[in-house]
Amino acid sequence: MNVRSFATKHQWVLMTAGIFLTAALVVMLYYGRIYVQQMAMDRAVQALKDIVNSSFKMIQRIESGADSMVPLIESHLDDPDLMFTYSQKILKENPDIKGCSISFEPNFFQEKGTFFSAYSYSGGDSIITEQEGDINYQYFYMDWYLIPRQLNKPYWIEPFSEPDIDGIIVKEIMTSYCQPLHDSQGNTIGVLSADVPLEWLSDVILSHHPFPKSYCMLIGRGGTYIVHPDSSRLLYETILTPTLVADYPDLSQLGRAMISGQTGSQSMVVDGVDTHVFYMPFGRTGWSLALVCPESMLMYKYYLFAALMLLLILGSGIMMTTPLWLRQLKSRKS
Amino acid sequence: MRNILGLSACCMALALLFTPLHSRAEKFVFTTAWTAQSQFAGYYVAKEKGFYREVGLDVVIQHPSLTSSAFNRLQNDESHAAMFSMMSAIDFISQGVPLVNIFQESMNSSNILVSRWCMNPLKMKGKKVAVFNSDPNYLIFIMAKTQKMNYQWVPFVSGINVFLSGAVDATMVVSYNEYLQLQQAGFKLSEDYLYRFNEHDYNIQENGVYVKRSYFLTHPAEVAKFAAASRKGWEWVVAHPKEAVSIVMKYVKENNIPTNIVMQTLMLKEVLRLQVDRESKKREFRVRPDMVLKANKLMKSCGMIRREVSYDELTGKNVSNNHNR
Repeated sequence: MNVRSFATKHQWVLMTAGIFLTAALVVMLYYGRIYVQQMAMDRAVQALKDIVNSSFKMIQRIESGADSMVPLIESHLDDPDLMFTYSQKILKENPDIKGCSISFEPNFFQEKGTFFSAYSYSGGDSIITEQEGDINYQYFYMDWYLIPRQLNKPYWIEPFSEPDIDGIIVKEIMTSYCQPLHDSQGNTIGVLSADVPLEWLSDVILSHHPFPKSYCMLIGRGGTYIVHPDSSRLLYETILTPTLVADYPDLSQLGRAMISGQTGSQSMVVDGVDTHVFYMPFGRTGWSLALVCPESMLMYKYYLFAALMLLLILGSGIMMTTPLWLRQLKSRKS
Repeated sequence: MRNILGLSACCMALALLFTPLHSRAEKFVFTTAWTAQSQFAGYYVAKEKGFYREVGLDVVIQHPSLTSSAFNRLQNDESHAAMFSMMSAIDFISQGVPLVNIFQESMNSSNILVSRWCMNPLKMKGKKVAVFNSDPNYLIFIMAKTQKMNYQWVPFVSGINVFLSGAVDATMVVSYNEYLQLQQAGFKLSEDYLYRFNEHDYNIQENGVYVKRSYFLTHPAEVAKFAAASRKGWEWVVAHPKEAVSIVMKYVKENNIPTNIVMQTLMLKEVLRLQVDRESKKREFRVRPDMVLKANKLMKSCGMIRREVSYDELTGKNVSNNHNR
């Protein structure tokens, strides 16, 4: 029995099977999209979590390195000169920390005057230690001192780059882990600040490409770009800057969601390309991490699957319509 | 020998004739009130377009560092002229530092008090308020005293990080800078949670350019030329705002200021708006006697100054008379 005779003999069976097969394939196509999309999203979220986890090992190392010195400092408040030794010690024991200041409230040590901040920083092969703070550098008005002092809790300050402020020279983008110091009565008497270059974080974040043509970025509490493949934006722009002069509702929504510390995803057009952006808070820092991925790369597997499904749907369509052709053929012959 | 001398004299005269004007121009160092930004567009333009050179001035524009004020530079003779607010000038003069206003650009107050927690700032008695440490915040101190707000003052250097961190309950901002930064950071700025000083009978002119009285007396031509060329610069900015922002961005890049063209464009727009007098609707570039009087009264009533400073004293109108006497 050849195909034609089978088709002629079971034409209604073939048509019914064709209808069911087409319906099943359409349903598969629909749910396949949802499934693949979900898989891709899970993968993206996992990639973000991996970045946060790998970065946080470093962050925890810095935090614990600085935290371990606090009891020592707080138990030797009778000897201000020891603070120079402690700030050096933090750098020696924590190579990731490039600068450390142990700074005190105005006139805390009467003999030292208004300003007293023991500051050590890495100067190539050696550690340089000096007294930081004078009338031109009133450290207690700076973010790194003021914020943990007022909040009375440890704080990662917004990354900064100060090319030249009265001799305090910072060439690269830095951030600082700062925590308040207390006396035996629990009064805040100063701040310990550990400065870390952001290069290590940029390297970790920018090296992650969970999907082809995807990239990661990190923004600060005020939406400032901290890590981004386009380095010209770093510290100079926020994610919302373009929205100040033009209407970008998607970008505005994404920026506000990231700044407010939400976790989620958003579809939007980035540089003319349909894109999916996944975002989540960057742990305790108050910053937000995002993975930007072109839709075509994210759904690449689905598109392969869809091509196959369409071929099958075409086949089942032919199967479904075969009886009609046969009937038409028969009527022409007769 | 006589021929040689004559030839030399001729050569010298020719050399002098063909020497570029700017190399013979009088050096005039001017320190702005803050780091490079659109707030100073008129001065940058006057320099870049050669308006200062045209009047025989070689103007050097300097910016203070984040922690060293323009006033210090003026006091230490590092600068011939410096920019600060009218109320600061009145304060300095009343303390015995003789200053004279040579050019006034601001016609309105830009000060705004912003609440962190969606509250009316007038209902935040006893709360922590961040105030700039570099420029005395006279208006907020006067308002707090008048309204008996009993705020806790938290001086800070600059920016919006202290405010966004939640370390304070409210912050002082200026409408052309930190206010725009807050917008750029996605902070919701409802008018209900703002206190605009210029809408509450505290509209006092702000930045102007000041010189020491001694300089004013000995260099009247220079200060007049500087004022005229600066005004020309601002008028050019009004006519060519886009080009002016490009010039500003040159200074911004040279000084490594972390900002962007969008922010500088918006800042310039606001600065130009603040230059327009509310009553005349014109850009007048003058000190208003009624505002000097008002500033004096407010400051005196809160014990900020020992004596009042007259309009004539502030603008140097009585200086030459006193000097002659």
